[in-house]
Amino acid sequence: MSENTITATARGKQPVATSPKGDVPDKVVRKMTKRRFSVPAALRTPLAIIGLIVLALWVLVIIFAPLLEPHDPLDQLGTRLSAPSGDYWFGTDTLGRDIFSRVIAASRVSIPSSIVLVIFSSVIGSLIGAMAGYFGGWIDEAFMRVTDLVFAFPSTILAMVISAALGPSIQNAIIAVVLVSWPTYARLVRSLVLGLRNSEFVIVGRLLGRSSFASLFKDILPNILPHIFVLMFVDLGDCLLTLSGLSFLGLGATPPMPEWGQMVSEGVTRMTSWWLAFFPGLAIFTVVIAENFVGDAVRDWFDRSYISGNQEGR
Amino acid sequence: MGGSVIDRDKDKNVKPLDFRTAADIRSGLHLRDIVVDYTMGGRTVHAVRGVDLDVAPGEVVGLVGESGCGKSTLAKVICGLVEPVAGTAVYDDTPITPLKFRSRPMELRRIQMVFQNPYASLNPRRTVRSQIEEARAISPVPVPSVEELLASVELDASDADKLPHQFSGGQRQRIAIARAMATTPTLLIGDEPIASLDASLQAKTAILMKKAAARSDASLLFISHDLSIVRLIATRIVVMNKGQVVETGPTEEIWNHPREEYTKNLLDAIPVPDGLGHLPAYHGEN
Repeated sequence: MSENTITATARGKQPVATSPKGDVPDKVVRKMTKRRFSVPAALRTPLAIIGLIVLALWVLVIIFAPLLEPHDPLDQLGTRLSAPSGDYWFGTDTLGRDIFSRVIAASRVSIPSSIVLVIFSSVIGSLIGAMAGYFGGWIDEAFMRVTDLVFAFPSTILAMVISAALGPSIQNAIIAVVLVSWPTYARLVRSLVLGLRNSEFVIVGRLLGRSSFASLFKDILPNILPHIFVLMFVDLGDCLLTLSGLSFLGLGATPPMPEWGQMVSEGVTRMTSWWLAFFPGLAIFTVVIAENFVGDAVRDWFDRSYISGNQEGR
Repeated sequence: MGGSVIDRDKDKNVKPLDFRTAADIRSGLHLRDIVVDYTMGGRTVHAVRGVDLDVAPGEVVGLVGESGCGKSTLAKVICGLVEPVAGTAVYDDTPITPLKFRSRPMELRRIQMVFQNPYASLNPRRTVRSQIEEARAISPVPVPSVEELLASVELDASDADKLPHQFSGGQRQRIAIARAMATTPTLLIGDEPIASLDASLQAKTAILMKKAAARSDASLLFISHDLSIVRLIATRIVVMNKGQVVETGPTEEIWNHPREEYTKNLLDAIPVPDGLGHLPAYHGEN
């Protein structure tokens, strides 16, 4: 077949979105497709840009925290409950520690903790969901009933119970949040695996000699990873909030470790010293809202690239 | 048409089934009394009701019948994807075992299948090269390179590093054929491989598949509801209806002198390019 005939065939059969211009040669169409995916339109919205900038700033803060802290976050400077001033930008707390330094130091606890717990819950949830969806039968029944059991409780209350039982510490709070947040991943991954496990390309893999485990990990999971990543992104803000909530209740980070939720709880009892709760609260707010903006944008980007035919036939 | 496969054999007059007695170490596919039931919502559907089928080494068999007659189920039995409730399935003296958790036995990997939907049969996240390379790896005999395999299905060598979504349906089906051929199968099954292609590509793809099978001396079991295409490539045709084989015979005999009423109806259902068309319900009235 000549090259022209192949181009004509491609034009006739390819979905509209992958070769939008019928009369444009194949190579040009490919180039256009590549360019579109390198700069996703969904990430170019004002909210997404704001979110990305805020997150980038927080990443810089985490990296350069020791350089940015004007005082030692644990150092009791003597001036208790002083309002924000030139010396103490965010004021000082009940023990006379610099709140600005503590907010910055806490970013190294709160943000990485939420990332770690999202990774753990997604890995655990995905593995359980994948096994349930792929193998079906009693494995599915057993895993899904456990999932239902976790879903039956309000997640924050359950996290509080687990955290209280394990004892207050940031590690235990992470474990508690992981234990209540994995079922979301399990449900998602199970449904995706159910949709893919009888796909012809998966069957071809089996005919080529893959065992069922190899088929699950080599053929199915790589195809659902983008869905998992999107959920992880959207979930980050929620997990940070739950984790901060546990610390707020005294079930997470223990003093003197600076943690935003715990700093807010210190301030709640002294409403006249508004800066105690305001600045750590603002830190939580900026991170969560930025993560939500970026999470939404990533989801939109993902939806569009799937709808546009990049993944048709699945 | 049917002579081309026989040409490769020493004795031109031998009937396809007698290939088994030829000087060939392979014994081919033998299905005996295969019964497959599906249970749907408490109701049992008899998909295949006692089918015997033989495919000799190097033979091209066309399996035809309307949708739901059990042809695809039979293909799945041959690949071990469906477990029959009764009957025996043997390929080259190896019993065909249903595919469970473990990987498929080496001997049975020589049976490969090309599926109906070209949009679903390629992994969307892997390049054509990696998918064909993986198939090449299981071949027990030396295989041509990925580029050569693509050339054999009339695709460019530069197509190897593309992803499936960059191809049309017809091109994808040819990639699927190249991948199946990369394993150097001894039995290639096409499960309605042309059903989702447009009319101009159907005959072309079917002939391509036959050539590919002939090149590696593989048998071909070509499943289709379209007798006019099957006729172009098959040496023998097996007609199925309601889970049973109703007629079997050399292609020209089935085409010119069908014995069964069902086969006649199937032949009458083939539209002719006179603009009038034939429909089974109007048999004899056109």
